[in-house]
Amino acid sequence: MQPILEIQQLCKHYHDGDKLIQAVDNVSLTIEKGEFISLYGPSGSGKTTLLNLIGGLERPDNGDILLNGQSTPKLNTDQLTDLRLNKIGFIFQSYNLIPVFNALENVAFIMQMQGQDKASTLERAREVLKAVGLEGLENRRPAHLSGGQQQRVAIARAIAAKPSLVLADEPTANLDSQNSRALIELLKQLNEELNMTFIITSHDPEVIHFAPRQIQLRDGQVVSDDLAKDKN
Amino acid sequence: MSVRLSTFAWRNLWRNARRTLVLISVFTLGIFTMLLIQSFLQGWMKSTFETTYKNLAEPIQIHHPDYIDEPEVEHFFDFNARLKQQLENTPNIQVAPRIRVNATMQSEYDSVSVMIVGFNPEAEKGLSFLSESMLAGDYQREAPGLVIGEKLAKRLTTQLDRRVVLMAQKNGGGLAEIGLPIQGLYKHADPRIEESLVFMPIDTAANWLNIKQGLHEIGMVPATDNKLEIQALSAELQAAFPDLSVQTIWQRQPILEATLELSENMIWIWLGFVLLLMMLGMLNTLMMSLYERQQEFNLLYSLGIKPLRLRLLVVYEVGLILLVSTLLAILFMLGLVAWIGDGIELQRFAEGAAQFGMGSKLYLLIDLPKWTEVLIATLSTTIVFSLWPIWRATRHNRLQAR
Repeated sequence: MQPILEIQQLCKHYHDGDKLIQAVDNVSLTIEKGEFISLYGPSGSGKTTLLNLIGGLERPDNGDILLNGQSTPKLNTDQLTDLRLNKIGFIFQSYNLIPVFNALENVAFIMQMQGQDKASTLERAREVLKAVGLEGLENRRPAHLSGGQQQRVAIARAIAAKPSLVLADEPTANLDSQNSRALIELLKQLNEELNMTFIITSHDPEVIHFAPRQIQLRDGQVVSDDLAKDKN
Repeated sequence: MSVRLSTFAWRNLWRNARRTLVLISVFTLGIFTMLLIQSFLQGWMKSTFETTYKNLAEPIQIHHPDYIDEPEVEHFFDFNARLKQQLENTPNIQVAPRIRVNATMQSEYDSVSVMIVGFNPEAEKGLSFLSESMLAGDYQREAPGLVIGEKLAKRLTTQLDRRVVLMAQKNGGGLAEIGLPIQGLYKHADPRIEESLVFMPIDTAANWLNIKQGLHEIGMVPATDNKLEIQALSAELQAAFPDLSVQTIWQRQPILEATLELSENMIWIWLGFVLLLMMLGMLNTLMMSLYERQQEFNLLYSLGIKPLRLRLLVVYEVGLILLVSTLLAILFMLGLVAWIGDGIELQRFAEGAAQFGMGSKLYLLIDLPKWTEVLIATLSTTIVFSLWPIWRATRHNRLQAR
């Protein structure tokens, strides 16, 4: 079976004044469809940069990223934007919901941007909000939802369009431990039910250990990959 | 999708209601000011134009070809059946035949140079200032008599029903003299007119000056204000009567034409200045707003919204502000126009304005083509000016996730 994501000798560096920072240093990974992966490491280890590179928000200096066999660094800006719209779901640390839309509209927004008709997107959005436990809160705007509820809306938004890959950058960082636990269980449940691939960055040991596959980064390099260890 | 973007844009406007209301107020005031200036100018130009042609300078006049340069008694033309027929067949036009010569008017106390206007009271009604300016007496009496200005009467120390003597050169040579009573007194804003124009029945003038069916002038007022249509009618008459001189007011009074054109050009300079101030205010507010929303743009970009669509979203927002402001400005203008109604007569300035050939009535004219010009200039300039900050805020290299 073809892997959903192949990362080959990926490098990305930044300049901080005269100093060269190697944010991602020769990273190679293979991720199969339906995997649930936690990506962890100390601050500055390159987790977010790696996520941004996978999501096509930044371009690598070297190496290749194959998403469903398609090399993403070779795509132009518009093609990358289309790829994000259609193939990748994003969950952010600070929820980043659109404040002028209610929960239902936030979830339907991406599907409508894809060109789907309004009625079917709203129906699907209702369905997904129910799946994440927000039935009855569809008409509330983000300002009238708790942090945990907002993050659930963000999850619903990320999965509603059925992307191949969901990238979550520290999704529990702003939540208390109870909400954090509930959220990660929800993500795992969706992963199992929808067979959707999740890559989650986190500092939270509970989140990290919840994932069947745990990849540790340090100084931009993969220092451990639990699944890889198991295979070896 | 565009419907969705417009909804998104509309809701975005009310995230910071105070800022949006400030922007709408600035634009409403700016557009209102520009429409006001434009309408005032158009009203003033129309008032000036009407004042001018009511002073016996109609949009179209017919003369003997030599009369304009030498307004002598023998430079008359025959008001023949063909000319009468042509004018009768021209629709929507008011016609006033006249005899006009220079003369000397003498009372028991003084004598002054005047311009005699032999006129047809029926035809002149509503065409010249006379029908609206009578102070005493009657200008429509059939009996031979004169209608003179109040100031002229004072100067000659005469009054209503008193007789004065007129002397002028008659056709064929020699001096013509006639004594007539004063039948009416008129009042005019321009003292030069009040002291010089003397009206008498056209038949009396023709007999006195020995010009029978002759005329010195036919004044014509078409129903239209449209300059091109007036020029076309004038050209048509000129072609039909090549032996006569048919001229528009713009040909006879090029200075008036130049003054009005200059005023119109000056107004664009003023409008440009107002527009510039509006643009500075708009750019400042828009840049602040875009800067604050950088994170939101980044989010939308990372979710898969192309920079072009993000730009379109902000253009929609600017467009909606403009739309609301334009509607409000038009509503305020229509309210003001309705409130002012037929105009405000500035009597205190009437004499001064009249001396410069200007109208003294202040009113606002709704000139839709001019309003459209102003609105198109404002809307397109605003959109063009807003593109730069929008482009800067949504450049790909500024759009990074999170």
